[in-house]
Amino acid sequence: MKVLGYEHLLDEIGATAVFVTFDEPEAVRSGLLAGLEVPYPVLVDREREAYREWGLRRSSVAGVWLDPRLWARYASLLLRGERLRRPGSDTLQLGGDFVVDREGVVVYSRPQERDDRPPVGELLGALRRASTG
Amino acid sequence: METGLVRPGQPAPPLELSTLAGGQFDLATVRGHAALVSFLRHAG
Repeated sequence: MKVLGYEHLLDEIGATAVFVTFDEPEAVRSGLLAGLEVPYPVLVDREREAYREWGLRRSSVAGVWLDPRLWARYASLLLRGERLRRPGSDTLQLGGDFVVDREGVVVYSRPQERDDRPPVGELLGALRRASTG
Repeated sequence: METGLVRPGQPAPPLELSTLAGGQFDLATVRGHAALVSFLRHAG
């Protein structure tokens, strides 16, 4: 959800965003979205059919929980005084980011390998190209 | 059924789901605009 806070740039580009989650709506509201204003649709895919259709896989336990970068991030959050949220229903399901152009063709595809996301500049660049190309 | 990863150059698969706000969303309705489709991990 790194593009939140950059809505003005998306507006400038003429782009939009949509988020997809698979957890219980209440868990999403009280966890991931707590305190956030999301001006884009948040879709609920409880069966994860769309995750499968877009080719997003589940990681191994080791792939997620033995990644030292995950623990470094948690440590950083705790040092800043933030509370860690309770994990959702499936900590192994990976997400991903896609950019679709004006014709409905995918022009950018970046599945997660672990708890990683592309830099926001990379997403905005792909959106800009998708909007003008 | 799991399909392969959707890659650049492929048409976006259909994406029609309920929204958290209680409505319905179809990706086809934003055709004409570039769109970021971001699949999230767990809600925690």
